Parts: sequence; structure tokens; C-alpha cells
Amino acid sequence: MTDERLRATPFHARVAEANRFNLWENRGGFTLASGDPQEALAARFGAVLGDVSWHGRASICGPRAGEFVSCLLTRDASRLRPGEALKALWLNDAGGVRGIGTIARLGPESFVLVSAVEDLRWIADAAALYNVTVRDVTEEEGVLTLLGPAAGKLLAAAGLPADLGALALRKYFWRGLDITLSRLSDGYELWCAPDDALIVWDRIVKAGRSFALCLAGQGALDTLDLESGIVRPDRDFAPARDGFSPEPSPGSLGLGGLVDRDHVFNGRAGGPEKVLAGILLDSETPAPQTVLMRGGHVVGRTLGSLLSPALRRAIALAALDADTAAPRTALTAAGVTCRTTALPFLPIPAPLSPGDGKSAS
Amino acid sequence: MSDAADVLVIGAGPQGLAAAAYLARAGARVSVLEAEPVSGGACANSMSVGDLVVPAGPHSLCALDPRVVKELKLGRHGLKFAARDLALTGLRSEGKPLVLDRNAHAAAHSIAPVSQRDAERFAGFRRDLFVFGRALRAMWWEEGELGEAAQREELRRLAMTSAGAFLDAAFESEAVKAAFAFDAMTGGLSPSDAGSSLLFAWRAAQEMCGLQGAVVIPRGGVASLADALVSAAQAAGVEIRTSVPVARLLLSGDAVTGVALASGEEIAARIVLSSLPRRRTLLELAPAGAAGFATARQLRRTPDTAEAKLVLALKSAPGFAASQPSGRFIIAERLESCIAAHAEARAGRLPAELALEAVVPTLFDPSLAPGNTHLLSVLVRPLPVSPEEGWLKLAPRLTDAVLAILERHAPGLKGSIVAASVGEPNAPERDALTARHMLAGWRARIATPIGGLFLCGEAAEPAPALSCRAARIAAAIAGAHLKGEVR
Repeated sequence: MTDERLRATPFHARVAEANRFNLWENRGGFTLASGDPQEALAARFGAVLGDVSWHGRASICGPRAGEFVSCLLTRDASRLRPGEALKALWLNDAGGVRGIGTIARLGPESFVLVSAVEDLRWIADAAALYNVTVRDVTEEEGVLTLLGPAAGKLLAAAGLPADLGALALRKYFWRGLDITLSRLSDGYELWCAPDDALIVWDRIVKAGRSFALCLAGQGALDTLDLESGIVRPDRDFAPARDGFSPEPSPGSLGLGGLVDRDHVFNGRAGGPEKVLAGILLDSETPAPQTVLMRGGHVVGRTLGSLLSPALRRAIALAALDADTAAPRTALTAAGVTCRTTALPFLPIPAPLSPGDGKSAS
Repeated sequence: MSDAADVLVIGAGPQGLAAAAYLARAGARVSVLEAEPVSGGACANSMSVGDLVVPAGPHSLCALDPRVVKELKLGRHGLKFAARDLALTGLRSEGKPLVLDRNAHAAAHSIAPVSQRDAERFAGFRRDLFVFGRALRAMWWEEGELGEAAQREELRRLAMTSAGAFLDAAFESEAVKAAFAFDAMTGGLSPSDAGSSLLFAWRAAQEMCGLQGAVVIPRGGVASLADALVSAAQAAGVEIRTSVPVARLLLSGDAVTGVALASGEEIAARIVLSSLPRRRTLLELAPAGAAGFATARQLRRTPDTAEAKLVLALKSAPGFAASQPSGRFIIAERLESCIAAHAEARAGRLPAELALEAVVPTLFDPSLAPGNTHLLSVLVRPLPVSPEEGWLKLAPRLTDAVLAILERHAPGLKGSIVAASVGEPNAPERDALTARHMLAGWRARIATPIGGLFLCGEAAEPAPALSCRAARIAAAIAGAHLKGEVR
């Protein structure tokens, strides 16, 4: 946090009018309307409009900006052409996830990284190694998101071409206003200068009347995020704040798909990837959240643990180093010997059909 | 690319040469790349004092690994010792100097006029420290851990204890504590820094010429160690190239593939050992970002303070050396004033008071200077790492300040000066020392985030000193790495 004061987004005047419940919250230092999570339903049949100006945007500029973003992110952003974007993670040295964001190339030496987590100090420090300038441009633009099946038609009605492909970004001159239209998430985003923000809002709302456009607060946007399986730092997991902690790893967050293992990036060599395995304990006492050792070295820890009446011993799920997860590896958990096993421990029996009784006898 | 070597070693200082010699003995093809025209690094005779030349680095040895001496047969390659145990001698403005001799009775006798209590305690203090020091060899001489729980507990305690608190607990007399002040400022630490008491344990773990905690001077000066190592390395088949500054490391992915010289020549290698400081290696030679962003952030720290070397050629030996020729003379007024001086130096100013360590090597090795000329070699701590006024303006002021201190303890010294020379501290290049670094495992200090790149110099030692232990262990790790690739 660079600043203690609570800031208003460029759309604040309109958001305040629309905030029927007068519920407010603070996100990244911005005052935002919470709204009603029910508003999310509108995105299932019509369209919703939300203020996402608070999502941190960092401009990354310099002759070596391409080289820098290539090393910073888990996928090679230096291959993007201007107007293209990709989703990636950035990790610390040990492979812990610090942030998740979308990077778009604006020009040969200029990128913009959009993310809901503030990690500007880390990114700027790293960029200094490349003489690349990183600047927080969050307050220099207002950004609206437009989600739902009717979003495209709505934009067309407002006079904007909706033929943009996914993960792309294009500048338009829209009836006297310079705006940027992008598709970085599931819907469309409209970027505009703060001074134009209210005009943009009014034009979209006006065009939206025939499409049952619903104004959504942050609560509804959160619901839509989670429903579509998007993992957000600070909301869904605690990002690595230390430079050398291997937790949380991309794999453990289900974000392995955003990591290009052939690409060279910061944290690639990091800690061994953890995998999920089953543990059979030589005891009837469960050992949840316990460190697992092998030959004096920590190889992982158990997650949930329970007594299995069928196996007549305690079992546990565990996040283990990939090389120790082979079944029947002997380990110790708090002094109790145990061994790994393939999951599931026991398959749940399929429902019996009337014919099965004969073959069993 | 010119023809590939198995291993490239950057820097032909003693550590680089030792690592190269070990690897060559194990059968690897090793080239050492030295930026300067002569090998030897900080131990090469490169600082001129009148007609004489002396090394710009250390003037005595306190930590050289006896196994390196034995295994590389450095004795056969010309390493002999002129002084085998320089007694720690605290000079005082008033009264006789404190000679903390190895002989407990002599030490107690010398301390008694200052404090009867400290005189009685000194033998026990040193015995305990030496016993603990021997136990610490498990982790500071090789890749092991402390055996006993009580010792691990003591180590944890020291890691949080400042040198000042450690000495306060042991002694009551300011004079005795001040005698240890210079050693407490090793690596730019302040005697008030948490963990600085580890430096005493580290010194006690060392052994020179079979004597625990001894400080020695080789015959022919410290440069003869470099010469012996050059000879040993060449005998093992190491190729030493001088005047070839390395410009950058070549990487493929996150592993090293060779180096590029300043001349533009590229040399391929499977493994690169660097005897340069960690920051120099990882931030200047490696491509940006290769060492990891968090590591780069950590490495930005420089030591808090620096040390400089001042060497005088004198017509006659200084008065304080006459009564105690084989002494390591410490001039420091009080431990507290050293802490204040450290704070001043950290702020970029020349402190009002300085701590000095002086030796007169010509007293036991006359070959170092012709005729009756004597050399007085002085290390000065603590000095600003980046002085406000710049080193060129600071140097004459520093010389005056040091001469004024020396004149107080050896009246008439100024009149007998034939030549004087002061060497620029290289602290801005060095890595900052922390208690965590001292307690890290050898592998953590030697390995780098870049595959195939290892540190073998002072940066990989627990405390900055010439021990060649990091070189020996780095060579073993690199050797295993080479074999692993063959298989």
C-alpha cells in the first residue's frame, strides 16, 4: 500500500447513485459498492456492468521490457504482438505464487500488467535489474467490465465493434472519446480516461436499456469470478509475500496450466512440485496438518486426516514432493511410521443392481 | 568458442587456485581466468611501499585449512612459516601492554595489573571457547552438524549475542575487552550487532600450524601462499591464464555454459567456479534476473563498514614491538568507542577513533625488507564503505589519523618513516556478513541459483578469511556434479 487515503474510482458518482443498499467496501484502497450477490444472476441471461478500475495496472516500459516480462512471468509474454494478451503467474525465487494477472502488449517496448493484487514493489525492484520502468497507472484510467451473453450485442448497439477475439486489446475512437476495448477475462473491458469516465458509463447504460443491463457491485463480480473457477490472490489463497517461500506452488492452486515448463522464468528452478498422495498411518490416531519426514528430511505435510473404520487405521491426504509420492514409500509423521498409497484409499462401492447377487454367490 | 574446458575458475586468488588444483587432481580439465597480469588475488604483491611490494590483502593467516596444506602438499611447494603463533597483544595508552599469550600463566600475569578477576578468569574463558570451537569444526570445517544438544543450544545463543555482550559477561576490565575489539569488527560487523559473538567462536575453531586459534605469517609474507598454490595448481595440470578479465557468464536456460571474456572470446565449460564475491558473480557477471529477483534484492546490501591496509617502511622497528616481537598488536581504546566508531563509519564519515591491528613481519622474516628497514603493516577498522568525501580525499586524512594513533604508542615512529602506502578498501564489492550466513550450510553458501555455477571464494566462507575451505568443498561438489553428468 503506497497510500493511506481511500480513493474514489472515476465512476464513483454514477456508482454512488446506483448503490441502492448504500453498502461500501475497500478494495486496494478504493471505495467500491458492495451490491447484492444476486446481481450476478443477470450475467446468466443478460449483461452486467461492473467497475473494475481498482484492479492494479502496472505499465512496464523500456528497451528491455520484453526480456523482463519474459523472465517475470510463467509464460513467455515477449512473444506477444501489440494488442495481444496472455494470463500468467509471477513467482518468487523458490516458486511460490506471488500474483496472477493478465499482461497485454501495447507496443514494442511497452506492456501493461493487470492484476487484482498489489505487488508493485517486487515487480519494480526486479525491473530495475533490466533498467525497465514500472509505474502504477491504476489511477490514470477508469475500467468497466461488461459480462454476460448480451455483452457483445450491447456493445454493437452502443456503436462499438464487438468482433474482438479473446485475450486481445484494441484502441478505438468512439464518438469523440479515445477508449480501449479489451477481452482479458470472460467479458469485455472498456478502458477510458478518468475525465471521460462518466460519459462512457452513461453511453453503456443507455445502450444497455434494451438488454436488461444490470449494474453489479463487487459482491456479484466476486460470485461470477468464483463460479467460473478463477482463483484470486488474497481472496482464495495467501500469495507468497516472502522471496524464498515455496508455498503456495502453482500446482497446489490448480494453476499449473498457467506455467510453461519450457520457458525460463523467475522461480522455475524453485522447490520441488508437490503432488497429492494418500498416507496410511501405522496408528489409529489421525495426524492432520503434520510434517512428513523421510530419512531426516521434510518431504511434505498431511492435510486432512481421519480414522478409516474399513482400513482400521488412520489415513491422511498429503501434499508430498513429487519424487516421494510413489506408492509404498515409507515415511514418518510425528514419529509414527506410515507409507504412501495411491488414491483413492478405497473406491466407494458402486450401487448394487438386482442381478449382482447371483454372481456373488 | 575456443576449446571447451571441464571447469573454469574465475579469479586466480588462493581460493580459486586451491579449487582448481583439487579439481585437476581429480582428473578434470581446469582453466583459471585471472583479470590481473599476475595470479594471487589479494595475496599477490601488488601494493608498493617505497621500493618494496606487499599484498593488498591480509598480512597474516588465521584460518588456512590444515588439510589443504597437507593434501596439496603446499610445504613441498614452498610454504613455510616464519611466525607460528602471534600473541594477541593489546596496546594501552598508559601501562604495559596486555599480552594474551597461549601460555595461561603468562597471560594471567599480564592481565593481573589491570584486573585480578579477569586474570583468574582468562584461562577458563579461552578453554571454554576452544572446546566449543573444536565442536564447531563439524560444521565449519566440513558439511556436518553439531553433535550435542547443549552445543546446538550454545550456538543458538551466540547467534543472538553481540560481541559486546559476550565480552561484558566474561570480563570486567575495559582493556581486556578492547583487545578483542578489532576481531569483533570482522566483515564490517559492529561489536553491538546480534551474532557478532559468533566471530570469536569461529576464530577459536581455526587451527594454524597445529595450534588452535593461532595467527601465523608465512616466510616471504602472505604472497608465498599464493606462490605455493600456483605451483601446486600447475603441478596438478591447471592452466592459469592471466590478464583475461571475465565480462559475463554464458547461460543456456538456467544453467551456465561458459564465460565470455572482455576481449570477446567465449570459452565453453560444463562448470564455472567463481572466487569473486557473490554479488559480483550473480549480479554483474550473470545476465539480469538469472540469479532470481529475491536473491538480487538480498545481494544489494553492502557491508556496513570497510577496512583498509596501511603499510609503513621504517628505519627501525616501532618501540612496542621491541618487547614482544611476535605480537599481533591491537590498538583500540574501549569496546564502546568501537561501537560508536562503527556507527560513524556507517554514516559515511571517518570515525574519530579507529581500531588497528599491526604486525611487524620483518622482525622474524628479515628477507621481506633489505638492510635494517622494517615493515609495519596495519589493518584499520571501521571505515566508511562509500565515504561522503570520496576515497581520494579520505586517504590522506586516514593516514594522518592512523599515524597519530601509532605515534602515541610508539613515540618517534613518524621520524623513522621511509615510505608509506595505503590501500583502498574493496568493501563496496564485498558481500554483507550476517549471523545467518555464518550458520548456513556449506552447500547453501557454495551453490548458486544458476546450475553449474558455484562460489569458491570468501563469499562461500562462514566469515571473510583466507581458509581455502570453501574451495576444497566447492571442488568436491563440482567434481560430483561433473561425474553425475558423465553418467
